[in-house]
Amino acid sequence: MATELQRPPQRKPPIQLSGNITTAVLVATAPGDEGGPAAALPWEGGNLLDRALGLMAELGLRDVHVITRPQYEDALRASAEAAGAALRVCADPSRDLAEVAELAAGASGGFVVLHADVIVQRGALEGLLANPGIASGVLGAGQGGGGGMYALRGRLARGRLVSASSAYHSVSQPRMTFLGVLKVAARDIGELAEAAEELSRLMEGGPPPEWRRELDNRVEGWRMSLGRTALKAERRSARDALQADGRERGELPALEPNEYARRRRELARELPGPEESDLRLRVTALEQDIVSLLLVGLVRSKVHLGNTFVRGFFWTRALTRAATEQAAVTIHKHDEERVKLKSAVKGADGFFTTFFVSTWSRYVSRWLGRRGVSPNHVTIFALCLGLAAATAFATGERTGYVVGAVLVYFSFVFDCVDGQVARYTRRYSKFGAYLDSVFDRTKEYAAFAGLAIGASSSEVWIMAAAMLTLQTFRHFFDFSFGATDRQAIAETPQPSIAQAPDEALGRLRMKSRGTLEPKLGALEHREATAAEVREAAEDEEDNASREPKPPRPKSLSKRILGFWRVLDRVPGLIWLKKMAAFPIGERFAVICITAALFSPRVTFITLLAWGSFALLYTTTGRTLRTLAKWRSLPG
Amino acid sequence: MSIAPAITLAERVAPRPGTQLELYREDGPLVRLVGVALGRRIPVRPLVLAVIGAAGLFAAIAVEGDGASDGVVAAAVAWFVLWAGLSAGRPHTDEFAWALPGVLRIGEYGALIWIGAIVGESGSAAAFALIAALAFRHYDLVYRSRIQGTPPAAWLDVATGGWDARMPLAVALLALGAVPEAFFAIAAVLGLVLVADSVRSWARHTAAPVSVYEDEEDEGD
Repeated sequence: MATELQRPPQRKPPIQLSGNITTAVLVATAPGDEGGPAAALPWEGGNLLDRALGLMAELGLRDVHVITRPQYEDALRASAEAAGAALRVCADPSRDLAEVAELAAGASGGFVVLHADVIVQRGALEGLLANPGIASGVLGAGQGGGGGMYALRGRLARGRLVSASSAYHSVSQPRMTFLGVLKVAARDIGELAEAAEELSRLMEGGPPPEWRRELDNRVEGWRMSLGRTALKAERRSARDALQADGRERGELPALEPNEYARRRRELARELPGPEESDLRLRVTALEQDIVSLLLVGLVRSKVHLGNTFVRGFFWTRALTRAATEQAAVTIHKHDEERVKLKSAVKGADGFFTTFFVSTWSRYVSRWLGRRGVSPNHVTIFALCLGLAAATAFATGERTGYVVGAVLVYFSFVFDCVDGQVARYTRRYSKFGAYLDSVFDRTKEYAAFAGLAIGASSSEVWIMAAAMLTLQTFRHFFDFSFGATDRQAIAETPQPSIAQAPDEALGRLRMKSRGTLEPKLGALEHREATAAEVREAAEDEEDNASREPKPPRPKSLSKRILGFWRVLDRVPGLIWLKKMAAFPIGERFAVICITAALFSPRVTFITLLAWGSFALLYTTTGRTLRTLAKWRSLPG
Repeated sequence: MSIAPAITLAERVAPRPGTQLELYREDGPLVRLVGVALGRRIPVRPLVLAVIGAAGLFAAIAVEGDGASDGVVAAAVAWFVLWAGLSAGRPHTDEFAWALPGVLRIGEYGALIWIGAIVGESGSAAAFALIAALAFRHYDLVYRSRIQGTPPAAWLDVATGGWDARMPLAVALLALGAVPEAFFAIAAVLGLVLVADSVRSWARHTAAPVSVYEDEEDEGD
């Protein structure tokens, strides 16, 4: 059976979904550029809905519902019927939400809710749906993560989604992009039903006036930035025309600020054809987007939502024929197997792990994964290697130290491999996570014991115990800091679903002061709140007469932290910072090298010195963060 | 079966703390009954109390070293247990409370290393073994509550005594001259009991329907 897997694709065993997901809800209400629904745009002999339904079937989801509009029914019926999915025809978003509420209220399992027109590789969906570390959660991307214009922003804190946006809800300080795939575990399905019901009520007869204003203001912001782009293009072509006339460069006179603003507003009103139709499509897609409304509803109901990043997998939402055709070409540049293997390697590893282990361990992982070896067996094998290393150290002979060092290295390699196999084959388990954590500690502390036995001196035993103490002490700082952080995040109140912005406006207003010109430019990169857009527009009127205000003085700890983050941009320094925290890879490397070349004494002196420095380093950082009250923010 | 009434009594009289942070303290019945009641009256941040305790203990270790008399060891340990025990009284809600469980770990392990060093080489090895068993207890507390969703059984809080009962016990063993042997024996028994409880819980857990745990960042690597 295991050997059948040597030629991988097509016949993979169905993966185990976490969160007891049984039902898929595909939202096919967004319009395409050809009059019909975007979901009916052609894709490889069928259409986008066929593609999405095929993916659901591959994931083993049998209970599939497609929500669409009466005018799209004919275009989608055949696809839905062919896949055995139920077509739910709703007149407007309020009815869509009522439908979801009803489905959720009668459900026994969890849901995945997504746009039928999202073009995403299966691996990315598996990453979200199979990971037991994410009960309910979303598929996301980084802030500039190629979400395109149909993706909305959100904010994460310690891996938890704490704010999300919709057409009518804004998010302050966004740090991630929501890619239109929402997973709701069975345990949270009651909250989904309640949130959908409330949203449906709010949306009855169209969105409430406050929401409408929010969207209008945001569209105004987009319009203004498109106007600016158009003005730039206009100026450029005017300059090019001048140069073509053979005159000197820089002849074109600069516009007066008022004249600049006037012309820009003019252009924003009458955008060129393609820009105008893109903007229209973007707005109508937003107005139909109940997936992000549901997400806002869940976040504000304080449901714990995790996040998995799409990483190298292909994702796009293409609502036009041209964009779909483009996607059909680009998707083949993303070799799913390779991306899967690459994303099996943990993102935030240290220097030693990244450059001396992960460079080749992924191929071991793939080899083992394809042969059906269980991740837990790898974990146990790694422990055996670790215990063998400790035994070799305990001999106290030079050969023992060298053999032990080699074994320690391989034990650490397989320690990385177990997680990679689990991620690569999507065979995650809670027990595996526990075993991995406990055995990591066991291996490390067994190596200490082995070295101390080998040295057989009271002093070395004391140093070994001191290192064990130091390491446990540091871990408990980590655990406790994380626990308080998570608790603070969980206890932070959420605004009601009816409220458009995600927090008090005072803070945002503060930020939108300052010099003017970059402001609207910055707004196009994120969701501008109503207040910001209004203020930016007002500021623009009397910009010429106003001196830019000096920035508000920051506390010392905030300034140090700010500087510390800026340092990340210096190439190579990020690795140095990671090494300073003395992560597990570096600890094993120290054991390995010093034991093989020197003596247990040297090992423990190095470990204790580096460990103490790391303790000082991380504790200083945390103390600063605590003082700056940045703890609820990621990073 | 003789511990059965003690279990219910412990759970009724000294209920487990509500927050994760307070659970990570790993207080025994002594602190949960006496320390909490007394500490509540002291209007000082819990961390300050624990640091006073640790400062005294480590000052004694630094000054006296492995030549310390049993009386000095007893006094220093009592000092730590007193102050760190009182720190359990107030809720751990201030912004530096996250440092508390770590301070309790370093106090207990540090005292054990000291006691081992006083005895000599076999004492140090025995202290290492005991600390390793306790480390299993402490990591298990964190990993199981985080990954499995349920912390280790409540009767273990009583059976293992908590740091507050173990530290005086270690001093008593030192005074009785039983250190290497008793430390090794306790480490072995503790290790067996703790591993057995973990295995039992996972056997029960994997038989239960699949649920999910909260994903963590890479802390604790």
